[in-house]
Amino acid sequence: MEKHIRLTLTAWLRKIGIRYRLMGSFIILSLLPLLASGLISYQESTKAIQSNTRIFATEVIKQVAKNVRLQMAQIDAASEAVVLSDPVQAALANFTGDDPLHRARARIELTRILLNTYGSFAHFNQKYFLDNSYRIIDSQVFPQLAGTVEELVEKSPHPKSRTYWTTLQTSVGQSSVVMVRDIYLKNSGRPAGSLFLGLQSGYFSTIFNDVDLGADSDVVILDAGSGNILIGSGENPARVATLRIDQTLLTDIRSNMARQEQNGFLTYTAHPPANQIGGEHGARFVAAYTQISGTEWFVVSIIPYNNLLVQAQSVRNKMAFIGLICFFVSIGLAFVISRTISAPLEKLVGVMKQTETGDYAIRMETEGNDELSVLTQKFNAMADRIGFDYEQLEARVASRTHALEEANQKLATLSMTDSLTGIANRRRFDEVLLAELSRAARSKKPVALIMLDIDYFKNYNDYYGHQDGDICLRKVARMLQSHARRSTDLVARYGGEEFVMLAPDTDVNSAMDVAESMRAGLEALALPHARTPLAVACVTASFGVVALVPDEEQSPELFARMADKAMYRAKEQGRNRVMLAGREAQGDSVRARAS
Amino acid sequence: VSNSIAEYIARFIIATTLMACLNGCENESQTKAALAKPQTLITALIWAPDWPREMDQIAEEFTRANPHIRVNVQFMIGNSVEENLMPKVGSRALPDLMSVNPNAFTARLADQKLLMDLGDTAAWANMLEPLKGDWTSPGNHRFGIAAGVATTAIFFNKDLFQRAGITSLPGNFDEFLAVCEKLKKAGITPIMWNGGFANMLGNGPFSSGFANNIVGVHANWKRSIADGSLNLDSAATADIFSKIKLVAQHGYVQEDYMSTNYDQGIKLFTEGKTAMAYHGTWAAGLLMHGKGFQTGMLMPPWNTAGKLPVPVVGSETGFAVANSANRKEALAFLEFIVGKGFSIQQNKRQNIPAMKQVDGVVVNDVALTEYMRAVNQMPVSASPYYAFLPASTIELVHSLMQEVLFGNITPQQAAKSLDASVKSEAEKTNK
Repeated sequence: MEKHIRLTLTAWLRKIGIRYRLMGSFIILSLLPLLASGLISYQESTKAIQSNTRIFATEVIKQVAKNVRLQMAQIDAASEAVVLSDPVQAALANFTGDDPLHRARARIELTRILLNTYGSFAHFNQKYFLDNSYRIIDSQVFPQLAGTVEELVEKSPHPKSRTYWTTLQTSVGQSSVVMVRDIYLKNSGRPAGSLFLGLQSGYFSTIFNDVDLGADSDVVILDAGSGNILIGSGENPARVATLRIDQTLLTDIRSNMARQEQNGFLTYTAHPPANQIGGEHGARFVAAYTQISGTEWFVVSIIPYNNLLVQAQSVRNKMAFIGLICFFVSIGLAFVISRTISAPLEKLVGVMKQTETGDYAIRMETEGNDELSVLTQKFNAMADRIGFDYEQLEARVASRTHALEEANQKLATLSMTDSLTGIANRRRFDEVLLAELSRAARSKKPVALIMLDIDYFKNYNDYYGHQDGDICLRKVARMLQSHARRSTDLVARYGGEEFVMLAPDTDVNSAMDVAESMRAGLEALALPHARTPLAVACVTASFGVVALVPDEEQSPELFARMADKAMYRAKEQGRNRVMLAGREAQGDSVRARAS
Repeated sequence: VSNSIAEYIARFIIATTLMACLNGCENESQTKAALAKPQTLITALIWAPDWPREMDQIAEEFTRANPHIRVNVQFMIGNSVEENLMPKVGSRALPDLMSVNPNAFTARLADQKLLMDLGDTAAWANMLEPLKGDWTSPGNHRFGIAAGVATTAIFFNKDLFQRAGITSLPGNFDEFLAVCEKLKKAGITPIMWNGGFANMLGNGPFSSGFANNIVGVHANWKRSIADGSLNLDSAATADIFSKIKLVAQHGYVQEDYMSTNYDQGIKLFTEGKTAMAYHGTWAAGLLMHGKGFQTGMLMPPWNTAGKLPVPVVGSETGFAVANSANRKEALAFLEFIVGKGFSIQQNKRQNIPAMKQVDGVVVNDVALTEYMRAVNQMPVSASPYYAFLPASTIELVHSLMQEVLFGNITPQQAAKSLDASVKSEAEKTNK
């Protein structure tokens, strides 16, 4: 199975070009670590961020709560010093008395003390002394303003020797963080009124305005009792007044408060209504909160969950971007490196394909010192050897071919030549006769055929033997050949001791002359023939001649038979003579030539 | 096979490049979001005893029109603008915008360049020309814009006057006392005295007494106060305090008048419990609309028989802008208060606008207009006390009036103290 898979995989991979296999492997090698490290860092960084945020946010708001408490304590302490100061005690004692003059003086004095104590500080929005009936002692304050202050003080819980902190909202949404302190006369312990101080919410929010827990995060101070947000970080008071804490978060804070746990951390999904801190319904938030000691106020930090990861996401994005650049660089390198491998290989393949055409002279340039260079060198050496062998083989084949051609030529010559006499044989004669008859028919020119047979040649053989008979035949043939005047004249052995001579473009007279010349020539050779009955006692021959202008339907056989008949008539007429074909049929006398 | 692999690789590269580009866009949008315009918080310290809600509304409207500016409105306490400002002057922590009076104290702040010169503002250009002198310092700094034209009057209940058989209005102080006597005999409390809020005694009987006894006699009274050459340790000055006490001594004022604060005083009149209220036109919106009766206005007859009354008229407490880091925003708020936001407070107070052109529909009483015409026809008029007395003297006057009313000091002693204070302040200033 494993072998099968390996083979299949190998086979599949082998279908892909080396360059792409190399590039693919580079990409996989560079991408896999990138993806693996990215995935791991994503999970680890998310966990770490959540954990660190919890620690960080909790510690930050604890510090904020501590600072708020410290500022409240400072105001507490300062206000205590004010209300216990002799001028205030004296003025309040006078104001609670019955003497109108003292009351009037006290009214002016108390206002002056307030202005001298708090008048130079911009963060005190309101500052009033109130009498035991919770009425503002300052005589110019109109009910529009005084009413809310007096009502707030009247409804405050008036804790003994302690201050009460809350917030005050005006009709148009201006808000103040309020401290109310009851005042007691030192010498009698009688209540003498209250001190009301209203501070800009910004006075406290400056503690955490610069606390940046990420984009869209909020730090607020919440009154867990009422569920109202008292102070928002740099917020418009009018907006803060309308903001609401999510019910899930508020419930969690209240249950923690019931268990007297001061700190908490919660991840929750926002629910309606709208205008909640953090925004939309369905969004997830991370909240950390801690109680401001001595109050029902909580410092709450609310961070949108998605924004929590923004910074990490930014880092991850940068990492991914760098990884991407590395990835592209590795692809580029992969391309370059694979090219250094595949390009020479492709070139080598191309060169090898070129050798299929027989071009063994082509060579590859050798570059570098790597394995491919060695392969190239080896290929070039191999091509050298193959080229050399090929050239040798080519030369040998050419030589053999030439010899073969010669042999064939010889063979062809042999097939057209009579082996005994060396002149054209009967096959050759037949081919030439057919061609000449056809040509003469087209050109309307005469063609002549002379046929001869050696007289009493059987006797000759019997007497001299066949070897001498052959010599005789060769001599006769040579003599006949010498009478072929033109290259187109053909002398051939017709069979046994019969010979022919075909003479194109030759009329009857010329043919008769040639035949006579041949007969005379033979006689002149004077080849002895002891057994001939003829008187000349030498080898002679009888000649039949035919000459005519053939038509297209002239049969070669008929033409030869006409010469043959003429020759036999020469035999019949006493041999050693020349007879023209066709004269007897016309009644003409045979033209015979005899010695 | 090779081509398709190459195609896949190309697609992958394009996709990853696009992702990188999108990532860049995301970062860019986050950066843009971080560049939102921050909100500036300015502090306004306002003298608005009878219109705090309207002032809050003006601030709210301003922020609605200028979302990048938020106003933290604080209201002054006590009896004077100056006593609220002095601690802040001392600590160099003036609010960005503040109520100020057109007096030497504020002018000095302007000459010290603690206040902005408002000469180039639209508000200054639109302010009534006669008022501009009040708001120009010796160093030629134009330091404030009046909230309105301030004049004091005796608002009277026509029904109660009729019920008491009063057919003619008093033309001098003796006639005034006679009217009070008639009212008292008719079982009607003649006049409301703000003994618990001495500021109104200062604006009312003190300013009128000063106008008739001092201003009507001394041509260069203002310069004389400034250089300390005016002798206020005099019978005329003592008479100012005497008249205040005399009215009370004769029982022409309400019970427990020394505890009556600003609001209570207005209510006593508007509810028909006193026949008269010595008040400023800045409260006309309340005083002219009493419950079930018609209101008339009477020029305070603090003159002696045979002399014309000297009315008190001038710039009402106005607004100045501190030379602070937020001065640009504070100037914008100032323009809004006396511009688009003016009608918010005007329609409550129904005072006489200090501007040539007023935005929106403003409400004014015809009687008030008629009264102003009469005041303007008088040959001599005086400024309200807060406009000419040194800051510390203003505080002293409050105490002196109360002490005189309580019988703790005599009017002559009060006059002597006043003279000493004015001269002392002049000496300090001219050093």
